[in-house]
Amino acid sequence: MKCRLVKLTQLSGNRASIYSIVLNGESDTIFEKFLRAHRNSFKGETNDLLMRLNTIGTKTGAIASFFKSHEGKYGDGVCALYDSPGKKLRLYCIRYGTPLIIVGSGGPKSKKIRALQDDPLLKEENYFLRWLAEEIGKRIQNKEIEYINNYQDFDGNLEFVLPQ
Amino acid sequence: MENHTSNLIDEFFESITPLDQAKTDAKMLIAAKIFDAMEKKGWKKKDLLEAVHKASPSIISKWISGTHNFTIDTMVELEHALDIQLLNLKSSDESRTVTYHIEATQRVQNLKQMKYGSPESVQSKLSILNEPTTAYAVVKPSLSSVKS
Repeated sequence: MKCRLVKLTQLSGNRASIYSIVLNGESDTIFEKFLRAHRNSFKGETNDLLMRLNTIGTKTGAIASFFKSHEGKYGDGVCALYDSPGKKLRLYCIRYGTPLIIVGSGGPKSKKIRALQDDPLLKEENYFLRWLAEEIGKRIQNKEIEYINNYQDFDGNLEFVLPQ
Repeated sequence: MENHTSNLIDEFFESITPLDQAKTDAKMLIAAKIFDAMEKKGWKKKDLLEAVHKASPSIISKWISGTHNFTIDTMVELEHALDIQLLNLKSSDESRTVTYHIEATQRVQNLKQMKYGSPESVQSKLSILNEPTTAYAVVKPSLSSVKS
């Protein structure tokens, strides 16, 4: 199965670019699939996450304190966008500094869950981003992917093959 | 890079009011200002915690998460601790002086003291100059004047 990075034009702005991932030949990114899956049960939370991404793209950039860090392996950039206090819809991202983030997917994190690994959905979405972060890291190192536009965009080979 | 436009995101934005977006923007801009001030001071969360005499470290994370709805008391405390401005409380009837630096591209021939000109009339008057020069405009809420 393949996936590729795409830039979400409606959320990206002068302060940050917001990317997501398209799997195979699907039309929706995994972020859109996340929104569709939770828009009814978590209407307030999905609206809030979208507004926050809009602010990040257009006004503030992806400031570190907006994200709950250490949601992946050490230093890989996998994090979770903080949602409103008391809300428990988790959205996993990969943060490349203030100018660029990749938004993935996530799900509800109930109070009963102590670690993301205890929830199959959260684990799957989180671990997918960990894998992607590692692959992007390798390609940045060997110059298959480069930063352009003042570190606000990726350029290069943005298509990946998922492990079997 | 491949650009992606989403009908679904458009649908969401149609249901989000400008007021709700403005509230989100405000919370995040305030958080950004606090975070930026901490970085400039070289402060960790514990330093801010100490400066505002709070006990729970998690409150600092909440403040800079961009999701927090601040009280005025907290904002004033943060202004004092970080030496920043979060609240703009100038009285609306205080006179405000705005200084514009205008660079004209034509020579000044007949210097004139112009008073009570609107920005548009100032611009039209500067257009008759014939040499590069510099004009300063001091604009006050109740009157406009240009000194050249």
